[in-house]
Amino acid sequence: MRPDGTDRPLALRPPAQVMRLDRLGALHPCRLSFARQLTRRIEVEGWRITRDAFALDETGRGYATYTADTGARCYALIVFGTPDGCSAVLIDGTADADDIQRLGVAIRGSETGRMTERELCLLQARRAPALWDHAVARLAAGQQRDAAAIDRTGILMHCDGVHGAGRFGTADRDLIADRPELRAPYQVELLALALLRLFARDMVAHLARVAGGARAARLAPALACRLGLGLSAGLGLARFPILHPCLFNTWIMAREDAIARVAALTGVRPEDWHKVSALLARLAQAVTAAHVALPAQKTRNAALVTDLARLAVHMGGGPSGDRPWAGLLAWAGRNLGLDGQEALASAVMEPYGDLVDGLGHCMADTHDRDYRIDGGASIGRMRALIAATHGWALDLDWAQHDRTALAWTMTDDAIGPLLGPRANAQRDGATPFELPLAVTRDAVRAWATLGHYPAEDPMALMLRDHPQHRGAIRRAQISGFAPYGEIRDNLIGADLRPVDLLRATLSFIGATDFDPACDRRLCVRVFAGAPYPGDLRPETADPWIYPGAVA
Amino acid sequence: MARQAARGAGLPWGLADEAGRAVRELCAAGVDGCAALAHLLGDLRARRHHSPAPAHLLDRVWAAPGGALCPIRTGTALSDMARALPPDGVGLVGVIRPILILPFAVDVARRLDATVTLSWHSGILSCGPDGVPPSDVIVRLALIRQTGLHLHPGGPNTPAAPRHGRARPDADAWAALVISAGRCFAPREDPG
Repeated sequence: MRPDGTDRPLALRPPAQVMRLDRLGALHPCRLSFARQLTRRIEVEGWRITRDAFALDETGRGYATYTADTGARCYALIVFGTPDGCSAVLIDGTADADDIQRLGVAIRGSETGRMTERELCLLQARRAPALWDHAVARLAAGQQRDAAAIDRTGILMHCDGVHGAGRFGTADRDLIADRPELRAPYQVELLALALLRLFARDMVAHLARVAGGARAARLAPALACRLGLGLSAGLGLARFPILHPCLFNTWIMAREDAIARVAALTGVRPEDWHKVSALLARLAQAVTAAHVALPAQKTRNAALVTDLARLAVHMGGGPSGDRPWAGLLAWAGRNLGLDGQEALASAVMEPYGDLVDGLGHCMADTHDRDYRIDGGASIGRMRALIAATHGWALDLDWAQHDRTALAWTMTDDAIGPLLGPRANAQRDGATPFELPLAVTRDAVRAWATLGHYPAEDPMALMLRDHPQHRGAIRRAQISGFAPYGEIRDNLIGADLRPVDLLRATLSFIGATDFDPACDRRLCVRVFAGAPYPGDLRPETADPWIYPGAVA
Repeated sequence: MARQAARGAGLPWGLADEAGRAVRELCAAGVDGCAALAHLLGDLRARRHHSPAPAHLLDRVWAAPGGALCPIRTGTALSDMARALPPDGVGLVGVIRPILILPFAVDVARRLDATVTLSWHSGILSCGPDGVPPSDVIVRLALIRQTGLHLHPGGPNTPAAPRHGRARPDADAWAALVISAGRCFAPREDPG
């Protein structure tokens, strides 16, 4: 039933509107983002976060352990510090001396098969010199860093590697996916990062104490709260939504459902309206102050700030109309750019946790690996499914060079995917090195082949003759129950910007401060503005993605 | 690794995905799926001029024109056709490395939500929707290079084997898969 008490179905935005790369590349984190799901759970369930060991020398070499006790289980982060950064391992259970000894050796060993099923996530991080050295020096002298300096860099550590779910021998996700606290995506990785952020703060305090002795100051909680961890992601993460259509569908569908639920509200309290307006004002301040590398991003940020100012004026009159949020979202669709539209779409959920937070339970899906093709489905049905999703591409001239200018390849398992000229994937007129990420082109090819078969024939007959279309057929069948699983753009065109895919994924993870290094790499912060895990309170566990909202 | 090795051996990505999944399921049941795949890829290379796919999926007996059925091609067809298989089962002629068809038999059981039974000249094995069962028969099946099989609905429901979290592949087989996987990697660009 809808929030307005009627039985009419919610009006979700159609996939053809939502699943465009430029819109996905404008998504903002929201209540459903996985980092927020984690901080909410930590607060609601009263997890105990403790520092159990901190044995580091004056250079930062040594180890520290932190434990998150959920009440039902414990997870421990063992951090091995070096003068430049650290490696850290999140393990299932508490850490004992044997674990510290064993993992201290393992993380220095070879890169393959060095973990056991007890290890859930491996992190590699380095100090961010722009802030680290100054923070240590100032604190050692008994002085605080000023807020502007902290905001300029915003991180004490930059995470270069976050490896879980079987990578480097860590535990398979299957082993832990049924645990309530880890069921939502990326909870293991985010818990490890949350504890690592704690370590970064403690490490700076430790080194300041080493240098300054009794006069050393501790970083003021309000300032420490502003600090996040730096992350940068490239093509490996960019392909994630392409590889996981079922899972990505659940993410987008949950968000769209949440937006639709709010839009359907008929009575909007003025204080909720003003809360959203205030949060967007904070976002505008943060975007204005953001230091970004690319001129194109500066231009885009300036446009967003302008849009948010227009939005603030428009919201100044308070809620109006039968369905005020629906009216506002429609106005934004007509008058704002995509960044502004999606910033508003995320923000309108904020006052309505009771209405939307439950959708967070619907954002994990295992069908991507387990879905089996129904070979009994008819050829005609398959053609219709492909046409419904990729109809826009069926009549395009795929012989045009620009349409297939790029190919995804790999040169080595350890390096991750590459995106380059098609010639890199070719040999002897074939493309043996191309990864199966050209979703639309492959769907169009399958659609054409299906046309040679009688519409009533079972799908399995075509697959027997043309196994090269198996991937496209599987995806087409998935699209029948996962309408937001497929991106409605060409993923091998000359104008592809993988950074759009990165932005979409990282916004769902809950990252902020999007700063593209180029069109294939995106730098972000995680947990910036969030209280530290042991300090979460009901009023602070949630709105922290809006800068200053919990300070 | 198994997926990339299958692709490196020339299987289309969709079948390579299926091969990887079959190996994963076997390894989870304590069977060395990596060795089975390494042997299969070698066999397919030797028979590369013959189609290893079943010629007629609507028949009661499936056979390949070249005389040997690939367990991945055949298994995926079984899974695809699970609900349209003849009620008294289907005969499979000359399946090479037949252990690899076991995960697909489990798929059929899942699609039918019922036990299915796989039999061959020297063994019989039932598996249900829960997964590959623990059985000494499986160990013997893993040693067979090529055999005829019969798959039919029904049979005793045997619980699935406890899942193993770590594969322990034969070193030579693993090395063969690594070499095969390397064939799907693009050459590195010359940094100069």
